[in-house]
Amino acid sequence: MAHHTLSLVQRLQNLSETDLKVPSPALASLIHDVVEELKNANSYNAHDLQKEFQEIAQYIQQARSEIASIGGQAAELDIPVATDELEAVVKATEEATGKILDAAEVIGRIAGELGEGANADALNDAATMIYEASNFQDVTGQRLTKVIKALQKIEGKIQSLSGGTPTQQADINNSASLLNGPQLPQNASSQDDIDALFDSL
Amino acid sequence: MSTVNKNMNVLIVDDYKTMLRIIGNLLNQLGFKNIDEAMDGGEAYNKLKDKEYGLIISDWNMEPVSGYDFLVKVRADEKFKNIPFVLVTAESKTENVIAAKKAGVSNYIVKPFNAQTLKMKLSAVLGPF
Repeated sequence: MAHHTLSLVQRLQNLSETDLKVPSPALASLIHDVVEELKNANSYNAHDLQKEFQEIAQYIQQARSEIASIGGQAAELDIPVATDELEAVVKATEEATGKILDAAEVIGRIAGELGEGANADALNDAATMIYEASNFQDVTGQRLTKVIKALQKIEGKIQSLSGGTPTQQADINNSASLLNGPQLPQNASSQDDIDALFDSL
Repeated sequence: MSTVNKNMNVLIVDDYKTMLRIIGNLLNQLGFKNIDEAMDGGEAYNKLKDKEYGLIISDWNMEPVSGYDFLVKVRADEKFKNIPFVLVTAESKTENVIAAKKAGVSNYIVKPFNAQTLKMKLSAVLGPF
């Protein structure tokens, strides 16, 4: 074939736009020849490149094995145990707070039965303080749930990197971009900050 | 003199039962007696159809329908759009406050909060009591 007398570069330049859009015999023939050229390449550079690729492949394989050996333990044992423990903390705290609220409600009822007076006021104030302090359960519960979700995400990532199947689907619900949860105390806005912002809008 | 009708129906919305109890008890102490509860925005929206409410106090972070989505739905509904709506949430980022204000929230309380803050914000929304 006449075009085989031309160099690979010249043949590539000669390909028309139509040839590039639709696989053509000319393109197929060119690719075939490029592959053959590479197979038969004896130059130092081609050999070197091949060696580099082999080393990269080995490195990737080694990294995967290491992730599998180190991460496998974390993903299959440590992280699920940690998430279970945290879930237990959330549940236990919720139950304890429930009992504290039971007691506060009893105090509130007794205050109501006492009618007006210093004792009734003192009991009501005590109940209010318990309600205010019990707020912590909601915020810590949300914080721990954030940590649990993060751990489950890490678990899934490690399992996919080590070639396993993630046991838990990572939460990739991007539409809920405003669901940030409680901020850490050093980053959190105070009620005054919120009020200032709210009033400025 | 208080002009607030404390016999109004109040709907509180939170996915934490503990928080529903806390807000409910604090509202009781402030004199509000007719309090209903819902665990997410979807359940809350259905409750609005059954009864006339004078105040909604809602958390933000709930599933499947968040407090923000509930707020948007309430404000888009001709029947409910004028109900005072207070968000009580741990979401304290600037973007959250801006989004809530744009959606028409009446006031915004950040968790954890105290009884005084609750009273102050409700007074700002309903009038002094």
